[in-house]
Amino acid sequence: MLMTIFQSQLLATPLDEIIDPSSIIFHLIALVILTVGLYLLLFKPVKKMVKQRQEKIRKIEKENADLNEEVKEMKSSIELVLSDAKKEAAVIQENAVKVANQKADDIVASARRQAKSMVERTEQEMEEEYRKLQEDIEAQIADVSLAVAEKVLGRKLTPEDDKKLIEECLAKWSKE
Amino acid sequence: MAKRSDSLAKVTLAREPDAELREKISAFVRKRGCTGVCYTIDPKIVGGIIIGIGDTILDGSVRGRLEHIKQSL
Repeated sequence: MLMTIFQSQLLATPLDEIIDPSSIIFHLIALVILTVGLYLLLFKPVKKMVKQRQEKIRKIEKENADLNEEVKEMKSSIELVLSDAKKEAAVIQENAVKVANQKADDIVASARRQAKSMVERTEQEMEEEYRKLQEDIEAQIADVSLAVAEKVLGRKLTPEDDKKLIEECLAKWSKE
Repeated sequence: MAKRSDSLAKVTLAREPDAELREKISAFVRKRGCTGVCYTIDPKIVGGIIIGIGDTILDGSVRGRLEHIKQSL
């Protein structure tokens, strides 16, 4: 609206009036004042605001960078801890396997010793039983032989033989 | 050997001895210092003679010999 009015006045005004030097100076001064005013009132605050925004962005970026660095450090720390934990778990597992193998070997060795001991004890008992049985059999054989000899001699020993035997004993004891 | 003037010899036989054998036994025990003989008949000794004079036992029985063989076995 203003521009339309301005343009219509401009077109209606003669050219010599338009090119008036004072008017030019006036316009120049107005332009300068406008420029200075714009600079003071608009450009400077905007520039300040932009600067503040940039500062804020830089601060946020710095914070982001710090956070990223911290995250990286935490990540590397966690990886290190995980790596150590894995190593420790591997060592624990290896030790557990060694202990289990050792225990298994001990159990097997103990069982073998017990089995060997049992076999030896059983063999000794069998030998003892065999010896006792042999002695019993020998004793029984001796008893039976004695009984048989007594029966046979009792039947076959005549009074004359008995008398002769007694006389031999007396003669033998007399010489001693 | 010391005299055993008051002791009897204990003689064990399987059967009754005749007079001759009794005399020989009496003569034997007298030499050992005994004044008399006490006879015991035990068929279990099978044959031979066992003479006990004091603590001394002279075993010439068949059973004693068999026992000796048994011990040897």
